[in-house]
Amino acid sequence: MIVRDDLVDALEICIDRINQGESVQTVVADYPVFAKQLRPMLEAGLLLPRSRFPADVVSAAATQGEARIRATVSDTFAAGTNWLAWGLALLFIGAGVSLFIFILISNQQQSAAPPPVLTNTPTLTLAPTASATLSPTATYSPTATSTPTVTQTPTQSRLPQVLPASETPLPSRPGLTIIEGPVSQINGNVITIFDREITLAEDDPLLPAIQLQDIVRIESANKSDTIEAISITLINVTVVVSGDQFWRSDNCNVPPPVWAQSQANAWYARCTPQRPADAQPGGRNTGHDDDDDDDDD
Amino acid sequence: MIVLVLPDITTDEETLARARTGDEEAIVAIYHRYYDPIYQFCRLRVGDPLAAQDLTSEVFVRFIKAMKRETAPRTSLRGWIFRVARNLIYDHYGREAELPIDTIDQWLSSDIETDPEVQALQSIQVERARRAISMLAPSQQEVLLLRFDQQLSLQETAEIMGKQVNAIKALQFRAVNTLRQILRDMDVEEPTS
Repeated sequence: MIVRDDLVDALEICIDRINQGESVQTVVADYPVFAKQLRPMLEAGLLLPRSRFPADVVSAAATQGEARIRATVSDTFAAGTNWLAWGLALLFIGAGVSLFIFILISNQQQSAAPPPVLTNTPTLTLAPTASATLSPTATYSPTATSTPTVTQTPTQSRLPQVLPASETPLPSRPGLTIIEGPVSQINGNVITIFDREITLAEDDPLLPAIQLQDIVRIESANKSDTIEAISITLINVTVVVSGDQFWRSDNCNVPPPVWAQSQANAWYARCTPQRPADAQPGGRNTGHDDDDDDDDD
Repeated sequence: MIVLVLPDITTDEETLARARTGDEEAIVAIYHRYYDPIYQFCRLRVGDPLAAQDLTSEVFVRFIKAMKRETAPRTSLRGWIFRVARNLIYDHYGREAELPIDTIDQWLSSDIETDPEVQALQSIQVERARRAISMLAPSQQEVLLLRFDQQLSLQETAEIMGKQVNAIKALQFRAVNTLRQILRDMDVEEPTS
């Protein structure tokens, strides 16, 4: 059978229009050429909607099935809500644990950073005055400088430190306390800063040089009942120690002895119009009269 | 003649949006709206009333789970539900299952007619329709059910049956034309007048 496409299309359009409520008569009238073919086909098709299963049977079936549908909704979406809640809870817990681990690692890295505490190995100095030599002296810059001029005495068990001025105070480590302030009392090897008594080693070479009102920075170990100094730094004055002798830079009337001249740049700059040429190691004046940026007053 | 009231699309979308959030009343509303056409569709295909009831419920259970997985349709809910029903029928009864005669025998004329003569005439016509439809190929039966009985669009019918629109259009033509020829042959063999 050869079927024209426009007949097929006409049938399709007619079915749509009938489904929308138009009558067979009306829709066929628009296709007079195909009317004799369309009418019996449409009437045949329309026999179907006349035949239905009884509504009461269908309604009863729907009512019976409704309970199952409601139960399925509850099970499906209630379970989904629980999973969502669990998922969110796990997400928050995971985020919290991650944060905790991150903080822990960060703290460990900070703690692991080597503290700028001097060891028995002479530290390097950038200044030509780096008599970071084996000369048995220990020097305390009045303030932290960028050119540590610290040397050591081999006999010292604990060595002072000099911090660069730009550095912030050392972060506290477990069991370590940093105290900085004026010395309000000296009693033997015990000094008092802010009403805290700090015990220095009895043989600490700096002990004789410390005076009342000196600004001292002390890194100390906490004991159960006392605070014992590990390292001492005088902030407001340069002190050079040689054996049993020491020299302080805060008095213009007391020039540095020969063994302290290499550390007395600040004193020369402040107290003399011109520094003797031989005061510089190697006899040269490098122009670095005062490498530190402290206030030697 | 019964006139099916097609679901309002706007209402469908609103209800569907609520149903997607797990709104039980919205889902139950969709269930009641589509239960009748889906049950009729299943019942015609499988014959057994209880099996049709189970299949229809299973269609809506799958719909609910699809809503949860967000794989449910956002538009053309009617086409989606019919497609699920059809797939379920195929899973249980095979693709080539013909409409069971005993099922067709349970069809009832929906027209409320008080005139006994008209009632008798309708009864004869329904009987003819039953016999004629049962003689069609399964795909032809299906396209007629979807287009005339369920009043689905050509596009929806194509989606449900998994065919191109032009193929459905041609299938529909062959089905209607074959049905007409069968009815004409019946008239020749058993004149009703």
